[in-house]
Amino acid sequence: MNFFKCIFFPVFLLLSCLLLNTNVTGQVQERDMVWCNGTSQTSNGWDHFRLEMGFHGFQFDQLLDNQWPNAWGQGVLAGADYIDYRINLRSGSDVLGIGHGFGGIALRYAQHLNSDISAMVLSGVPNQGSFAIGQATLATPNGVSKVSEIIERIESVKLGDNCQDCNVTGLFKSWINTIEGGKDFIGDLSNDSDVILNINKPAYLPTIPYIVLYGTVEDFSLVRMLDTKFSIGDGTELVECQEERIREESKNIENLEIQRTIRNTNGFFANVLGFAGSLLSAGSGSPGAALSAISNYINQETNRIIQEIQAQQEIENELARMLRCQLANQLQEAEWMLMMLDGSFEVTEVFVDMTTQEDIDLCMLDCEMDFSNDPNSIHHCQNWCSQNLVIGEYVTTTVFVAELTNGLLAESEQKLPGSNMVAEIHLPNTNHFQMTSRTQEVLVDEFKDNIFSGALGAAFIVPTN
Amino acid sequence: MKKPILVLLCFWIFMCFWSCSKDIDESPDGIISLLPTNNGVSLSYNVKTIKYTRLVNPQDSSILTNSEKTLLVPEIRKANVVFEMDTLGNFAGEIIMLPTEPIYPKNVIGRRVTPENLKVARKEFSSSGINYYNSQDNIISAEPFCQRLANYYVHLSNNLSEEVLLSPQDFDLVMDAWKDAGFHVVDNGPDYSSIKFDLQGGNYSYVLIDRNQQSIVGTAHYKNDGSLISKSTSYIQPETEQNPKKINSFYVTPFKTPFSEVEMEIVIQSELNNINHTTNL
Repeated sequence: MNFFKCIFFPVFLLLSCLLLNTNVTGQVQERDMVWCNGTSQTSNGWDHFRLEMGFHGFQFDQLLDNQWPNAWGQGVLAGADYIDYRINLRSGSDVLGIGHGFGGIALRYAQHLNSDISAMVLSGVPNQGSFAIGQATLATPNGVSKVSEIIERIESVKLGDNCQDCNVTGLFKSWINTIEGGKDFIGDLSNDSDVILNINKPAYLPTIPYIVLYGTVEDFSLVRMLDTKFSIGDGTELVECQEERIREESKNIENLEIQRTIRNTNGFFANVLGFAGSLLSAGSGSPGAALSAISNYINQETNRIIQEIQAQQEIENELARMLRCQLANQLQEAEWMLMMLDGSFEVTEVFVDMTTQEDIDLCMLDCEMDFSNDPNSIHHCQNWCSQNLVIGEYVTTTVFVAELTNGLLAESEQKLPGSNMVAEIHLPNTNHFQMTSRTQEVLVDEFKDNIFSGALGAAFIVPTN
Repeated sequence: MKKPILVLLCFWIFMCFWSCSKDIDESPDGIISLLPTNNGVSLSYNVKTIKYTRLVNPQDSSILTNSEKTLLVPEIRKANVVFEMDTLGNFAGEIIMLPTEPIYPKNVIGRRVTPENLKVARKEFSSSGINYYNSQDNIISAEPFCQRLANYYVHLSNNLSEEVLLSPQDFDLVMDAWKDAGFHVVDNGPDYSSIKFDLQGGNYSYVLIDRNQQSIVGTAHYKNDGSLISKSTSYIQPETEQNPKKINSFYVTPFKTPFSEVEMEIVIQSELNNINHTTNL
């Protein structure tokens, strides 16, 4: 028994001290945080990124729980109330808030409700409101949003032409439908909503240190962004599918044209000329007899000739269909880009080398095809080409150069100038959904090396183990 | 028959690659280099293709939406094409996308940009297969050779060595024979004639004949309501002291814009130059 006392109590005391010490140390070394996801429509959330930061050794306590989506489902202000409630419930102190999209705006409101929030990081937040979200949530007189109207038109073109597009338009539509479905709360992010107008009044600008992370993508592609949103693999399935489809389409065009070319070069006209050549070189007698023989040959071949032309017409029809599908895709990309910009693009004149347009013969041929049935076509065409032909090698074309965006928000919509801003960090080649992604290296590096490390100020330090 | 073959070959072979690019020097050498022989046919050329849309009525420009205006921006591509075939019918070819000056700034609305790793920079084909490469020379896709394309080169090879031209009088006789056979033939000035073909369902086509070249230089296809399906033309600019031979092609098909419903045309225009054709059989 004495032996037990001698051993047990010292060991018990030692273990107790160790456990107590660990607990105390843990409390000291763990930062209270609120990781505020955006709505599921426009954010993949912070969950994986938070885990990634944990793997890097950062010690923090997430004060929000899984009821957060229910809160944001009632709008930004309800979301802010919930953040405040959770911090108070968990007795949070020196809380570092991290917000994305909708979560960032709710966090900004919460900062004014709860003095325990001491610093904020705003990643891909529509600080100035979002024009695109406005276009996707505000109903037109037709009862649907402007974006939905546009998708319907594009869909109709694609349906009419049986366009294959790896379901890009379908995914785009389903994404916009979910945004439109959540318009009661996502609409708070519209650039002209009261929520946005109020939070940007001078009195509501952040009163604590904050960092703005804004993402941009050069030569933005809607397909690439939808890939990030919908792909279950490495986020390139949709792009690869579409590129494969375009290559396949090109090959189909090539095959169709090869059929067409063979018909043209070895087809009916060459055959008739060949027949006439051999007939005339053999000396067929009078011109009348030759005419009759060639005419008979053409008559005999009429069915085959008509079949060839018919086949050519079908090939041309198919080629035209494919080109219209390409334009429909191009229009879809352009429309979404314009939706994001609220007119913030530059109109620029570019000189383009169009040398072949000055070719009078080509112009004449092009024109002649329009007046095939008109014996006076030569006169019309000479007049038209002399008046309308582009002279000189270069023509001026107008292009619209877009302000950079992250695929949902323009750069200027994400920024938030203010006296308490500690840093404004650019995340290149990062779309809106990638602004919470653990696989987006530039984002991980910024948090790891500059923000949580304290390089940008002690207010943002998250301790490591 | 040589000219139309060249025209159609060059234009349409390029069609499927017009959206690619790669940085290399543009100087086809015109000798057989891809096959282990000196005997055969070699053809090489540079091709520049411009794709754009144009308004049928220029005054409709103000009606277009901004997104529709982006369709007016020309897209320019260049490539170098080499095709060789030996006397045994073995063939090889390469299409290399050439650099185009970056005439447009970045972030021009409406331009499709293919990710670099998926962009076809070169296509290599032979009797056994076709490989597509990106700019890092990694194979993006590969497939067995298409028999139809092989047949096409055989036709080409046979026809390149032929030149069947009738005298102008004999050619006139042939055109009269078309009339005599009941076809509607219209003389469009001294250089061109067109033949109308009535097809199933009331559709019809016109074929434009160049009387000097004695070949088809254009086709136009119409629906039964008279609306255009498409038209295509090709023109050879003969070699002169000042200018080398060039081949110009034009493809046009109508397109009604979905938002403003303005009548437009999709145009693909190509110019082939630096054409080298050698035959050593």
